[in-house]
Amino acid sequence: MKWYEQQGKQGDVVISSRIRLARNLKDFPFASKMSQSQAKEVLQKVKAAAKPLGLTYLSMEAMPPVNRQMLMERHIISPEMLGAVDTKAVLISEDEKISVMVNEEDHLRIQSMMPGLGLQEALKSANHVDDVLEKSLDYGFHPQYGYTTCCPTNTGTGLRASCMLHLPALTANGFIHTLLASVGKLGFTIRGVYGEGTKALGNLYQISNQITLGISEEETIKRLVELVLMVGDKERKMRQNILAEQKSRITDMVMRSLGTLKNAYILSSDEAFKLISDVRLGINMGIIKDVDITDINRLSYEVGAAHIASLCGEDGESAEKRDIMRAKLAREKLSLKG
Amino acid sequence: MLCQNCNKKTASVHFVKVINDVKTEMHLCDTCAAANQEVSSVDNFDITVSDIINSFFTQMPSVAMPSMLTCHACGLSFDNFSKTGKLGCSICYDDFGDKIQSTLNRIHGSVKHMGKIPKRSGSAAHQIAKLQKQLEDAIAQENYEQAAVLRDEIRKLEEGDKK
Ligand SMILES: [Zn+2]
Ligand SMILES: [Zn+2]
Repeated sequence: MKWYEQQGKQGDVVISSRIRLARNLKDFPFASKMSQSQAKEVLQKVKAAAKPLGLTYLSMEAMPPVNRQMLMERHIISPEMLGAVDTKAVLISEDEKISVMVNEEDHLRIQSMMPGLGLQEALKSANHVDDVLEKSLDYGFHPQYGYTTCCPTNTGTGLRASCMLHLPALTANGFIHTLLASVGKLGFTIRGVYGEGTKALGNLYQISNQITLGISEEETIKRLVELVLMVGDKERKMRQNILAEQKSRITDMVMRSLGTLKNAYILSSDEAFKLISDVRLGINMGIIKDVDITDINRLSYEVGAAHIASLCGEDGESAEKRDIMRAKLAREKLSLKG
Repeated sequence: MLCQNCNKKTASVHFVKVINDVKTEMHLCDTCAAANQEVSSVDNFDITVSDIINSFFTQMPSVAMPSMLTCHACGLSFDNFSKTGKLGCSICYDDFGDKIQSTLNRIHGSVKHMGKIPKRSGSAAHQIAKLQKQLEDAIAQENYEQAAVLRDEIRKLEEGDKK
């Protein structure tokens, strides 16, 4: 089972946790100021330094474009990795929990992911990768400011800790807007997760730290966990209210969505994400009992445009063919258990 | 006019300060004026003028006075950084001096790294952290002579790395 199929701690609200560490090599200019030959030198150095980690090295240039898109949909690489591919690479662990982007905005972006609320564990494994790489790479490190990064918003720890939250109830009652406005004061940011183009995906939000200087990694995570638990609590209370006051309505809504997901013949990605959100809510509220949450977790990764396109093969260019394939995939995944 | 501080003696020193279009007036007697640090420094007219000019320029946006600040390693100018928000290399952090410090302070509300220190690349930082701890102990034990020595050593290490 892939990590993203598992249900982690606080999994009824927290989909996944991610740690990202930004690092740079002291003897090279940052990626934006680097020549192509310097960039290739960085690729070689990192590849050699990462040997003991047993990660798979993938050159972005050598990868078919649809595979690049797929890695982006699985949050292994950022959109920035899709440009200037001849200077970029990514190292990935077999379970895909660990990845290292090379020559993104910073020379190194070490990432570690966990299902549910697992920031501590994710930090631990990111730190391990960092320690191994540092054995043979000379990092840019300032005695006062800490890790040097291309953008001063990352200077210090270079840490971005984030959790992806499923907040359908807080979205429905509008509390999400209060939340969006208030977490900024605490040094955190919360924003909708976007899919194709700029359309928001089904009630998913990413909450992450903004401050990287004057605070340790552990303290950052401690505060983020507190915030996530607080938001999770509110979301759960709101779900209970809905169950107490509008049980028939919510049951009708999630069962209809499950029905569509199981029977539709054409399914756009936007509709799929909305239906998946409803079914996820239905399972976590105890309304839907015969669908396994791991199937929904897997489905939410597999309905992305690039994943579907890769299944379509030569027909991947046609939007209608993709929507038909997406519906077929959903039908197959859900009818096995249903 | 009576002194606005003691309200007893006649005000003989009149002091007007303008910073960011905010005008502050002070009318004090000679005794109160001598006790007021800000006003008593007016004694030396030359200092006051340069102080005023300096305080004026530090309040001005950097656009008005294009800085010639450039990183000697990667060639990025501070002005260019102000436009893009992206630094050019690790040396920029040294070469942009106070300016990068105030940028960092504005973003993070701090200019002191409190997190992980890498084993090899952070040897100076490890050393500084060790000395900092000794400094705290020295101050706690009121051993100020030792504290002064340690403080100098820390400063030397912090600046030594800026090469
Ligand atoms: Zn007076
Ligand atoms: Zn530079």
